[in-house]
Amino acid sequence: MRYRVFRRVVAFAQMHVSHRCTIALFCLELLTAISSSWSYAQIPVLDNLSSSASLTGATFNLEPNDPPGEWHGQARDYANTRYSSLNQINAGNVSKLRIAWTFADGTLGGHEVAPLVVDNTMYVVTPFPDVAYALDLTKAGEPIKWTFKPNPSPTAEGKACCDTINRGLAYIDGKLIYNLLDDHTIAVDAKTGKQVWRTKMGNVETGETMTMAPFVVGNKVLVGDSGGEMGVWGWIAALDVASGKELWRAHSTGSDERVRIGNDFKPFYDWMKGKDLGISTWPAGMWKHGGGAVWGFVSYDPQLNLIYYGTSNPSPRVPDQRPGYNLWSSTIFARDATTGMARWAYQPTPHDRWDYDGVNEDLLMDLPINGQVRKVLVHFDRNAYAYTIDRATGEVLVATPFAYQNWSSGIDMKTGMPIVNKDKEPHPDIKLVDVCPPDIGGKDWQPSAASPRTGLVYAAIFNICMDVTDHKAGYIPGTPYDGMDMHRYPAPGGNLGEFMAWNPATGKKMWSVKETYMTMSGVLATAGDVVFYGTADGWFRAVDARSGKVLWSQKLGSGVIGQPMTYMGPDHRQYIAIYAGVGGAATVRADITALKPVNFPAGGNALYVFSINGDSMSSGPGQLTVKDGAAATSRESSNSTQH
Amino acid sequence: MNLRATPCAIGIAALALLSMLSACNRVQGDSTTTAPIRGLPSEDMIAAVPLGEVAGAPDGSVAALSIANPYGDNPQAIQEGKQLYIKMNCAGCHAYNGKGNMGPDLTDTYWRYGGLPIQIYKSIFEGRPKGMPAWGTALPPDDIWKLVAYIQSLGGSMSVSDYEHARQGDQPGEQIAYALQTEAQPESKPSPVVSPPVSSAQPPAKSAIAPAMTSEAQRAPPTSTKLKSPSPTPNAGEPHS
Repeated sequence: MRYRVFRRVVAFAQMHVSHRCTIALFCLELLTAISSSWSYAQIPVLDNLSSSASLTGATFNLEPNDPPGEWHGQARDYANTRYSSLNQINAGNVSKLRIAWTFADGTLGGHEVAPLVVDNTMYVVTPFPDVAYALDLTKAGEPIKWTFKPNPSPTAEGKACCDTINRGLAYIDGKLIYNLLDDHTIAVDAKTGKQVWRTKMGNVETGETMTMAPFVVGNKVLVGDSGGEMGVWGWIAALDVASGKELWRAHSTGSDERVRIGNDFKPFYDWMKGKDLGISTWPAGMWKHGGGAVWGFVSYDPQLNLIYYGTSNPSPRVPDQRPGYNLWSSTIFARDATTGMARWAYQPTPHDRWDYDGVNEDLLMDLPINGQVRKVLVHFDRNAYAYTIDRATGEVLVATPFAYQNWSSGIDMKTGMPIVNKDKEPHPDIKLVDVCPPDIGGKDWQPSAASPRTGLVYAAIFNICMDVTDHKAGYIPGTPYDGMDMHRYPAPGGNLGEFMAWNPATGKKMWSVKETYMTMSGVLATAGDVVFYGTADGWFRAVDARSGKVLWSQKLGSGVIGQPMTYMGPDHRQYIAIYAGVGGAATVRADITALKPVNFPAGGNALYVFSINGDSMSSGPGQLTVKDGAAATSRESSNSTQH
Repeated sequence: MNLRATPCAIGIAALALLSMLSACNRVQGDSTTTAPIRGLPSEDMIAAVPLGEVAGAPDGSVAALSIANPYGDNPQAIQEGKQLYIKMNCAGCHAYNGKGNMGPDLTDTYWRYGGLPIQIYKSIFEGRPKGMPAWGTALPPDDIWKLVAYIQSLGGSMSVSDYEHARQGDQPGEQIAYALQTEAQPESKPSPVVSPPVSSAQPPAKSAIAPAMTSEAQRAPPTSTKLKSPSPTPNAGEPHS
């Protein structure tokens, strides 16, 4: 036993020395590892040093301060913490989590949404055909209150690059607002399930689709498009919550006017300053089909009145066809929430050659860095760097890799520019091997979470590389403007997935759990000091927010790429909910066959809801509530139809 | 951005070059040069091919399915088809290895709209619901047949001789319990004057073959179970290009 522990410690030490951990930290780990029942890739030292204190001193503005037992938007709050103050389920009892009830919606696309809970009603939306359901949480069996079928065009199914997914609903003022795959934003009355308004935002025939979750700020709802692989002209738009009327639209490429860049626009770095860079950083005219779609999550700082979001990859995905920085694709934008005018921008991957995109979420916090509290956003880019950025100015404060990468040797902190390895630049018709991360990045859209109690950020990340061959692509409306031919496989280590805790002040990984299959689920953090995530092969896990110890796991009927959430039932029990239904970018078969044995689930569509011991009003004895007379009637009628 | 018209090819006979240049004018992008080994099937013959298995259709309709690829398995045609497959962005949806991504896998044996050469031709020409564009407006028939030849070379399609299997969703080689005999004329040279393709579905008029009909194609109910008189399509002529 001792010997096994020792071997693990040595293996652990080697791993972390390679990560440049300090010797002092290593010694602490060694001591605690020997004295505890510690398992691979977990660092119990944190438990011993501080059992309740924040490890970074980060503080969070949890506006709009929705009721603690409810969940009104995909990110729960403006800052995108995905943190719940509920703590009935906690590190001490989470191992007793059991299935309380389930709901299946019958669709087979990837299920990437978090359910909403408002006023004892749960709301979900399916992948295409984007059907919305309201479930009554006050009744046994959580019966359907209403179903809304918007009937989007089937053409959209063949225009969505990466499965026919939907990233969820937003609730505001008695309305549920969401996007249809065929480029409509709709509002549905939460009480009745009747459509309030429907606004056409684009033309699906051109290859444009909509998958993002709307984000509400005041009386405006923000939506954007998808189609970075289809040569769209990407945009974000604000609609009036009450009427659905478009108030402003900001494109990601083109003239300053189209991009909504004016005198207030002050990027931190000089190379992003100048007139009409959305045109001049492209070969003539190519900005018109330059991508820069907006399909990730939006965050909002109510004090600065700024929204934050990222734009997608440039089109086509063949960089040699579009010399230049290709602004403002693969860019993080800060915009005035009222006017949509840009305040600053930062392009993590100029002239994006690998489809590293910029769409990943921006998590807002106030963070002590070198003794000074800074208003920052934390952004895990697909390019495998985690950026801690001053959200008032766009200055990069910390930038270190969080996942395996070999496309660059670092970030020049004077310019904010990556130092690119020339031998990892793809060129047409030449097969380039071992490029890490691949197009789907060190982390894709799946949103991270943060806990004010630990001050850490938690994220499901990837450990993947690719071989890539570029083929020159021509723009044909409605077809992929793409040209990237790739084969993906696990990066060194052999695992495809990983779940980690991150210190955004130091840019260091605190601990991680390696997963054989991809980890493309959202994360939930709670005041019970538990964090939740799922895997593409169908495991749903609860992890100690401080130590990284896996406290509980449950295998579900399909892979998990949804966003976990939590709510308080009318029975005053805390529940945890997660969809199982693999799809999206997590289903690339070439990736999966690299693993032996192949154990990958088919698609699914079941929502799983958990409670301590599985207790709820929907299970156990005494559930048949049919009155005697009614039961007799139904028996008769079933007899009468048996011939 | 338009596809650039690049030099079509080199080292071919002047005559071929001439005919090819005319093709270049019709198509965006490189033309293809290989000549078919048999005449292209007429529009009537193509129009007689039903979309899937129409309920109530008499068995006679399967005869129309037996149209072979006029390019056979000509390696040069396959190569030209592969170039078109990349150039026309087919690979963007169906993947560079044909195994599917946004669009369906073209190398397995599951075909939503049929895996016989003529059925694949029609799916490319007409487009299909769920996002498949109608290429009949952008490519001449010979290029579409070359795309079909390339897809056939990937191994997932049905051979013409297996059209009865294909119609029933069976795999070639699987036992079929009842006699098929008479109507099967695999690889039969499609004569220009078609022996009446007996189809319950109305042969689509020219306008119906045009891309606009694609989204309706699935919803159109079978018109009648009565045998139609085999009148040629009134507006038969060159497909839109």
